[in-house]
Amino acid sequence: MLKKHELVFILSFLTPTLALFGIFTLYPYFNGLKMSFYEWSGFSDVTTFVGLDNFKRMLDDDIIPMTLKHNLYIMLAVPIFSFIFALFNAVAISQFKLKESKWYRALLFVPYVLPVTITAILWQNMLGGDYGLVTSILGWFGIHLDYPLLGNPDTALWALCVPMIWSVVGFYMVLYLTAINNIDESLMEAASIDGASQWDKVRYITIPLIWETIRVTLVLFILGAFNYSFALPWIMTDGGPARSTEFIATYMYRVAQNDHEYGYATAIGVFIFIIATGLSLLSQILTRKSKLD
Amino acid sequence: MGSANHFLGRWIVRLILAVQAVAVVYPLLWTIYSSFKTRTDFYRNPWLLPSRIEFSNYYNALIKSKFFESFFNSIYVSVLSVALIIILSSTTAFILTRYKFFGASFIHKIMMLSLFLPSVFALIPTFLLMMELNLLNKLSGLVLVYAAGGLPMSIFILAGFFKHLDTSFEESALLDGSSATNTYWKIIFPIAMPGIVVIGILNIISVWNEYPLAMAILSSPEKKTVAVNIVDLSTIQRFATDWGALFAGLVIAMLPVLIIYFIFQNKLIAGLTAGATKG
Repeated sequence: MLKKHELVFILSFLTPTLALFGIFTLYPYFNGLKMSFYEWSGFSDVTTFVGLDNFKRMLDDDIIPMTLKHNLYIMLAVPIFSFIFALFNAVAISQFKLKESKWYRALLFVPYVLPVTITAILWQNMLGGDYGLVTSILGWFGIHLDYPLLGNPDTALWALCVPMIWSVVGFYMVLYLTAINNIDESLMEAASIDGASQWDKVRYITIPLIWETIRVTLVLFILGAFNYSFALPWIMTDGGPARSTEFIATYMYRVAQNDHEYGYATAIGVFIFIIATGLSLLSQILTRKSKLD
Repeated sequence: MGSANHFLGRWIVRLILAVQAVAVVYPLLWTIYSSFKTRTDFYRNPWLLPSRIEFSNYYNALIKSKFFESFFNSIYVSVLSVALIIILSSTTAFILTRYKFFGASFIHKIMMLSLFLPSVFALIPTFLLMMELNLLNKLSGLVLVYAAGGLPMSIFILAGFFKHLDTSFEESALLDGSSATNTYWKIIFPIAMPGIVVIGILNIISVWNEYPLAMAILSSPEKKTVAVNIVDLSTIQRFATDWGALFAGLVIAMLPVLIIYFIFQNKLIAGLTAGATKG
């Protein structure tokens, strides 16, 4: 049982944290949920309760399924490439024990700590019009583009995946590398003696033994597909051209900022919350080890 | 598996890793050397090194594009919010690891849960909260939002740190009649310094880099942080075609992060990855 002076001490240390966390982190989530049942222009004090109208409106909004399709594309493309690169690098660094490994780790991690705005502008220039480096490199291979990659509705979405992958490969690589370094080395040696190929070792030893780390990164991949699909497209393409890079999050912000329909915007936010959290939970349920064995 | 095979594999792997390293380093180097180019130099060939070093781009970025002001705004916001995070998260992590009381595990759980929520949902509700509290377009509002946002991860990392801390010093200090508050600040906080440094660096970087909230909350040019101002600069330079100033602005915006990264690289990588996997 706590003594009175202990209780005073605990409260004096906890109250400021709880107040700040409650007001600036928890309250917005609950208020967002509440606002999704209201209609509000942001200018007056008049908020009107509209029940589920905002959610019904989403069903008739043609832009929502379009943005969800874009989100789905990047939720598949970005994790698949990030995972392949990150795991390849991690296995390569741990297996081959290259003397410059430290440098690869240090350099490949850099994009993860860069401000997202820098990444966006850098890649806007790299992928950009007449002088973009990527355009030049494609030119060496005989591929001549009529439009810049980011300015063409057919390619803009895929071009956006490049900076998204670029910024996270190093991060996931370090996560996998840490997990791989915890694997008992004698396992790998035994497998080599038995004549297992490099691929067999990855498939039957590395992946199963770092499975828990891979599961966690699944959640990060899913949340990332929603969180990272805001700032990069917002800065690099502004959702264009012809809405080909409009995502659910950029659309949500557009509804709030341009149309001042805060009720509808938060309803879209609640929808994002539900699918992102739902998919994260689903990924954890589907990948439970007992189910796979 | 012949050794020739192994040798070949080694060099293929090396090549693939090196190409990726170049893909990371080259855009950064290109930005840095382009920031010293004149406009005509840039248009003649954007990929070559500058024919002569031109510093006026930095003058244009710092003075004309208000980068000086936004640089100080970013420092102000970073220092204040990180100071708040350090004080609040260390005290809270200490309480949560040392005392058993009703609600302790609930507080811990709800904080950890908030780490796995899609934060982009909070963007508009946070904007509305700022409006309600009359904190729109105020740096102090941003400080509070950032401080609150940095708490859960920092508490998580520090709680792990406190768990493994030897308690004999604090116990003997308490027996000597030192008050719990005094004992914390005089004995425990200094011992926890290695952990404090980790969360300090993590949060400085995430606050310095943050874009969506700063963009939504700050509207007047003299209030903007570097992360927001660079986007404005990019839009303006695209039409004014003053690429030099844009690249100078990019260098100014990323240099602090790169410096901190290369000094504290190991601590930073350990902190960022530990926070992600063990939650």
